[in-house]
Amino acid sequence: MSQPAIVINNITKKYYLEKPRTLKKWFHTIISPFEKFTVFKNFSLSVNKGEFILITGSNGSGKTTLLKLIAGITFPDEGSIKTYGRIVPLIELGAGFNYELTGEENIVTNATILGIQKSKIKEIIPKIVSFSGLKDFIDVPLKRYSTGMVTRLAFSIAVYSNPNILLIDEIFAVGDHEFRKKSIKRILDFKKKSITIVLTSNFRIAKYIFDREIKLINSFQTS
Amino acid sequence: MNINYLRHYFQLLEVFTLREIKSRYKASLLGPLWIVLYPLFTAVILNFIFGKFIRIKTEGIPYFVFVLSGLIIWNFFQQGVDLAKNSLVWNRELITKTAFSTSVLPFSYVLSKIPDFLVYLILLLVSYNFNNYRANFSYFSIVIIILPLILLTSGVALISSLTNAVFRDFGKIVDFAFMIIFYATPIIYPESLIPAKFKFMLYLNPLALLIAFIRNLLFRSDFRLHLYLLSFPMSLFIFLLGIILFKNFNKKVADLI
Repeated sequence: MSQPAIVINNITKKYYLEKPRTLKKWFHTIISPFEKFTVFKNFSLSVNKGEFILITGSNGSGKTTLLKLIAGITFPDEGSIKTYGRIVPLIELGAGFNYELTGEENIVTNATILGIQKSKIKEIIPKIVSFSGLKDFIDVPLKRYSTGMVTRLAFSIAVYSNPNILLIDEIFAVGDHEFRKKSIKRILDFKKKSITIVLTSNFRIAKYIFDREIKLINSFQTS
Repeated sequence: MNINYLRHYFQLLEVFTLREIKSRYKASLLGPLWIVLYPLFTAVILNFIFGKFIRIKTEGIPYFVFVLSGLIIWNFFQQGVDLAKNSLVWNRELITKTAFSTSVLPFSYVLSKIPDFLVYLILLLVSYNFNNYRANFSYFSIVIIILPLILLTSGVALISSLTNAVFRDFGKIVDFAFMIIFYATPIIYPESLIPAKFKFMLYLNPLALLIAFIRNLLFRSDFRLHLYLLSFPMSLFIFLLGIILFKNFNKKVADLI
C-alpha cells in the first residue's frame, strides 16, 4: 500500500494579480509584469496509492490551486510534482460543455478531454446514459437541461472514465439528494478499488470516508 | 512525444473540429447553407463594386470568377484566423478547469473551415464553367493549395490566439492587419496592377503566391509549380514560429488568460 500516487516536492506557486492598467502603471509593468500573490511556499505532500485525502481551508487558501497543480492544469514556479497513473480532475462539473450540442455529443468531447480512447467511449456511452438517468434527454441540446441535469451528466462521465487518481473540488454542493447519495456510494466504490482520491471541501464529511485531512492556511501575502 | 500522446492529440483535434462545425450552424435557420451563401454574397457584392462600378481591368477574365479565385484563399485565411484568435478566450473555462493540450483549440477552429474551403472550390469551378471556360475533374487537384494554406493559417492562429489571450489588444491589431493584408494581396485586383518596384512583396506573401498559382492555372492554363512551392517556406516559418511560441507559453496560459 505504500506505492506513491502523488509526490509534491517543495513547490512554490505564485499567481498574477491584475492591476488596473493606466499608462503610468503600464510603464511600470515593463519592469515587473504584475503583482503576484503567493499561494504555496515550499509546500510538500506525498499521497499513497488508494489513499483518500480531504483538503480543507478557508476561501483563497489554495484548495483548488492544489488540485490544478496535481492535474497539470497549472504549473509550479519552483519545485516538482510527480503523479502516477491517469488523473481525472473534477474541478468544475461540466467545464467545457457546449450548450448547443446534445448530451451524447458532449459525452464524446468530455470523455476525450479526460483521455479516453474513441473505441472505449463508444463502449461506455450506454453506461454513462443509464447512470445519469438522462435517457430521454440524451439527444437534446444541453441548453435545454436544468443545472442539476448538467451536473448529473458530468459526474456520470467521470464515474466511467476509469481514473487512477480522482481530484474532486467541492462538487457535492450540487445535485439532488438522491443523486448525491448515489455519487457518494460511487466514490466509496472507487476507494475500494484503491483509486487515489483527493477531495476538497468546506463541508463536514463523515470521518470514516477519508484517511487523512490536510488543512491549508494562507495569510494572503503579496510579493 | 510518444505514440499514445500523438493518438490522444489527434483524437482531441478531431473531436474539437467536429464540435465546432456541428455547433456553428445548430442555432441558425438556414444551417449549413450559410457555407454556400457566404462566399456567393461576398463575390456578388465585390463583383458589383469592383467589376461593374470601378471596373478593375482583369485581362478579359470575367470579374466574378476572377474575384472568387482570390477569395477562396483569402477567406480560409481570414475566417480561420478570425475564429481562432478567440479560441483560447472563448474556451477559458476548459483551459482553467481541465487538463489537455490547449494548442488543439486554435488548430481545430482553423480545420473547421475546411468544409467551407471545399464549397468555395466547387463554387469556383462551377462559375468557371459558366463563364465559357472548360473545367474537368482534374481541376479538383487545385485542392492541394490547402496544404500551405493550413500551415500559414494555423501559424498565425496560434500566435494570435496566444497573444490575444494575454492582452486583448492583439485581437484588435489582428483586425487592422486583416485590412492591410486584404488590400496588399492581389485579391480584388490582378497582380499586374502592382508597380514593378513593389513586385518583390508578392514573393514574401504566401497568400499572393497561391492566388497567382491558381489564376495562372485557371485563366492561362499555365501550371507554375514554383509559385506553389515558394509558398511553403514562408508558411512553414510562421507555422513553426507559432509552435515554438506555444511550446514556451503553454504552461502559463491557464494563469494568464
